[in-house]
Amino acid sequence: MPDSARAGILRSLRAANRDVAPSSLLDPTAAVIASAMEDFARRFLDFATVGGELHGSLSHVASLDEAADRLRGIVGAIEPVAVGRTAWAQGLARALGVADAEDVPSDAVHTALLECRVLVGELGSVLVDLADLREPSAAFLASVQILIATPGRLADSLAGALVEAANLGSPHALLISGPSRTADVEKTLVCPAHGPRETHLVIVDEIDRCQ
Amino acid sequence: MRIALFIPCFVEHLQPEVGLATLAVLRALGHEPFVPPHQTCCGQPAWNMGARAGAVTAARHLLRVMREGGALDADAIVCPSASCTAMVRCHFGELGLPPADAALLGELVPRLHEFSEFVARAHPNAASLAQSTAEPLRVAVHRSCHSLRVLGLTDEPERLLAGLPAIKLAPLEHPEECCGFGGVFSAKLPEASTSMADDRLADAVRAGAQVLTSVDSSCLMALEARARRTGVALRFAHVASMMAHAMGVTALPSGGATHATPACSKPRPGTLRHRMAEAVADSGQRARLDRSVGHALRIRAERVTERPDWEDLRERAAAMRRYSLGRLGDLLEEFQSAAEAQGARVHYARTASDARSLLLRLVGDPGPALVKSKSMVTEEIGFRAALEGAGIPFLETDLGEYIVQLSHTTPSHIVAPVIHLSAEDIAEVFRRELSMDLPAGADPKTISLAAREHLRPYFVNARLGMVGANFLAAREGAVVTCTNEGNAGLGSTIPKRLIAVSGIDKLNPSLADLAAPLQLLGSSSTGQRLTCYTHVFRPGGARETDIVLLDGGRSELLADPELRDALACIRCGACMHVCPVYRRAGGQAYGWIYPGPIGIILSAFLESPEGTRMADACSLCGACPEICPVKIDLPAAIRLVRERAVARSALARLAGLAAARLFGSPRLWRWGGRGLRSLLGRGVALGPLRDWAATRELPPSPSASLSDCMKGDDGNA
Repeated sequence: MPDSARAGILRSLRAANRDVAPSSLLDPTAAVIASAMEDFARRFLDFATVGGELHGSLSHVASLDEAADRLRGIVGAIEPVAVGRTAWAQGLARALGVADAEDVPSDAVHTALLECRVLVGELGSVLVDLADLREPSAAFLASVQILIATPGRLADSLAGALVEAANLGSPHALLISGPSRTADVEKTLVCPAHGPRETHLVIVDEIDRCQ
Repeated sequence: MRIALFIPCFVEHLQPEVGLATLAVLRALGHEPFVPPHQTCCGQPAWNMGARAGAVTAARHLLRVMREGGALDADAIVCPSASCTAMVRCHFGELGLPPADAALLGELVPRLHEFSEFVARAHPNAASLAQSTAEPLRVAVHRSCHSLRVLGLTDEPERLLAGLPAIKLAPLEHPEECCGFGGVFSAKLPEASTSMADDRLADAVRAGAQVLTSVDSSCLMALEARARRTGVALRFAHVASMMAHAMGVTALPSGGATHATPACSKPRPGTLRHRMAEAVADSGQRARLDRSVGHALRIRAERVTERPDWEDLRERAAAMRRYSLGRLGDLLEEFQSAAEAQGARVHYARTASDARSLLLRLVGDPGPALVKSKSMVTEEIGFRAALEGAGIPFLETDLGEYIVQLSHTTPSHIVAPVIHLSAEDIAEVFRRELSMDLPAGADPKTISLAAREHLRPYFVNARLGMVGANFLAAREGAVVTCTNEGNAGLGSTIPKRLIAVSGIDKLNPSLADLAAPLQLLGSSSTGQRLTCYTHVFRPGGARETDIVLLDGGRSELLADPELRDALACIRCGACMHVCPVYRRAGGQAYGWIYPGPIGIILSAFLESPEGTRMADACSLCGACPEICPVKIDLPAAIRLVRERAVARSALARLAGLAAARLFGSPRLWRWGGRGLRSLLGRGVALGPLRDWAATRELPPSPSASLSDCMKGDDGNA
């Protein structure tokens, strides 16, 4: 298929969906979604709690601007930052007033900003595609991970996330369940181990501003 | 009711008072008990040690004498032993008995009851017969493994005893833990066995018990003998004896004088027994193992509690793993096609030696250093030594494995490699090997952060990474690796070359099929709903990928219809956490990198220096299948491994045939019993019993067997 045809079809599809709220992978009744989101949030924060200390946050906000405000209050310094190529990651970077640090080696990056492909309701884990980053290693070298998602990404089960991971076809699909940790010394949980020390998630209700 | 008594061999020859108490209690409850004559043994000792022929002879003899003695016409058959009842009820069916015997078994089993099971059901108010003038006693109940995990009994003994006015129950902290008897286990690994017994005795002493009781005479005999040897002031009595005492119909056994014990042989260095003996003597390691394993079990229990569908999750994972094993050849082809279509090179290694050579060739010159993530397969094939031998620089990057590398040892657990070391042990390794300036008393956080800082430059400059695989997804050609630290992420995204190493047993149809196993892996190993990072590595992008698949004995195991289930294992390590032997000895004592119950089975097929010898390190307590997330019947498999070993050993076969001769002949059995009582009465123990007797001290042997005691009794049919 010529690229122009592919681009045309994609434009048409996006236009057709512009004013439609993204539906959940769940039974799309509001009560079910709200309850599943609550469960997800609780479990995500369980993952972010290591050794009794919170190493992350979850914010459910109405807009990217609100997400940016919230993150500035929680995270503090963000740059240098590696930003995923997806529209939501780019949109949040713009709202934060930061840009992908192209000239900075990935081991000097402070923050990795990525879009979640799936939120796993039953566990509190998220699926990301590290190939969204210019250097996938930045996701692990960064001290802080910022993840962004829309409520429509919520799936009730891990099986749903694994199907999506298969569909991604990426060499770097990754399920994240909190910041890096180890309990290898006397079974005492310590954060961080080799990877990020904080994992923050913002869920943005705003519809399609980035498309 | 007319009740036929099935008398255990222990009771017949060494504890006739238990048989007499059983008769007395049943009579006091208004029954007409009788003993079908010519009983020998149920064959359990032979069955547990893998001597099938002996077990079959014993089973056929027992069924015959029960029929001839009128047991099948009785209203019930009662046995004062949970383990013997379990042998008949649950294992006779596995013996491959001839059809006529199988039919007899079908008639016998519905009538057969363990003593406490029968009395608790038929006489819930039996306590009303108790005499209040009986000596008041604080009594602790040891729940035997067979009663709990084979017969499925729970608190029957406590219910019987709780109502007796002369008895005050003294609850044990761990009433369900194995006493360490386990038949052949206690004779072959006496140090590990007595360590387990000592813990049970200490539990009873802490509970303030005066008497320890149980539904199994064999457990009590082993515990009593250990208590006498170590000077623990406890009395021991079967539940039937306790009831008879409380009813005022018989007195409790008094214990009696001691006799000299033989000297224990010294374990030969390099043997399983030697390693186990040294490990159980290390109280510091024991405390660390207890703390770590206890923590893992507690947080696993939280995961189980929060999932009402936990059993369903297990069912799904178990079914999926077995389905995958049934299609392993197809899945392998599918995996290779998918991985190669995405640009990977897929390699096969038939043996550990092939794998080492292949990997060394693939690694070549790795640049500054190969950064290696955790891989039990590379441990299995001895790849670390091969790298060191070839002078190739490499770093284990999982913190636990890095400590193992620096300390030049082997992992003691498949998930937590240094579970046996203290923080100070590890800090000392860092000081010695890396000249790190760690303060005295450095805590786990300080140590972990120091390792992070030290390893980061190696990651950043790495040109080659190596990862292990928890699962392979055939449809997607994907390698799935679970970590918590992020080291596999760094080691796979920074280098431009990646080598993934896996056993062929890790194949599954597709990523979507991994939902249940992934959750069970996290929950069962570390109590997490999911491990922190679940990587789905697929070939492609800027990375060059080689995937090495090892057989190493797995296809042989797959071809074994009775043991292939072991390949369903997802390597969570949960079976080790509940194994009383592992919990005392740790993983290194086994002598191979896969320890514990699953390690025993794998060792018999994969390229292990220990082979089937590891099968001795099991008391067959039955705790492991309850926790195994994919429902592998580990004790049955371990028993089968023993059976295969017996089949290969002329001496063991001969012993099995001798046992069969003994079990099948009541006359020889009586003579044998007399001889045993005579020898034990003089403190003489022969052959495999020598070390058992040396670490324990048997009470004086009775002068007569139960049959002798019952001569002239109406119940002696």
